[in-house]
Amino acid sequence: MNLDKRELREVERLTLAWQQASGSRSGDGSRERPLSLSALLEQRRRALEGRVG
Amino acid sequence: MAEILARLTLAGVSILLLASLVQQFRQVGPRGRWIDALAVVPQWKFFGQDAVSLNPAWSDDWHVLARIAPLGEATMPEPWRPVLSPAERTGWHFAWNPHNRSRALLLAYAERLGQSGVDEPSDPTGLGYLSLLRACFEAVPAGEGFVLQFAIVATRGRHERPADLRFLSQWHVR
Repeated sequence: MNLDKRELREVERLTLAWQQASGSRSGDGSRERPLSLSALLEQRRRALEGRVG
Repeated sequence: MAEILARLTLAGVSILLLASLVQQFRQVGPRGRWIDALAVVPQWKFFGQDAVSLNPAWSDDWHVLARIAPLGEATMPEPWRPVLSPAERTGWHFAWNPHNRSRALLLAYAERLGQSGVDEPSDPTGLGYLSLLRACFEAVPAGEGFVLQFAIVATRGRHERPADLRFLSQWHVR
């Protein structure tokens, strides 16, 4: 039940519309300074340790 | 003994049918979810109707997509690629709701993030967000100098499904 080509094109259109409406929020605004997955995992680990400790 | 067993079986089947029916109209609370954990409640989305209950959102199918783009450049990202979608519903699904545990868990995370909405900022250190991000990195190769973004899309029904963008992540590197 993957999205078909028509649905993927619709998602592309919706993404563009959302980014145009939102400006620098969330979407392309983070392309210049992306957070890494490993850094996020480390951040979560420290937060959890802070709660336990 | 046989009679007791028959009555217990009848009671069990009745409870399952009732749970299936109730699940189409209201969210089952924490106490009721243990039945889902056994993967025995039939999934009525099998019928593919647009709105099976009073709450249309219960008919939503959730999809996770990912795309990559060069780091820091203003070029257009590559097209969205499917990462995770509900499995094809076969006749067997009418009577049994098979659970691929990791797949179902990821789709549950997608549903939760999707329900938070595109306009709501989401904590990128949340367990659901990180799980989906990791799954996307495994599914879509993002080499050195590329960033990845994932999206959660909802569809409904079986034919001519309208796609609805429900969540857009930030851009990330591995």
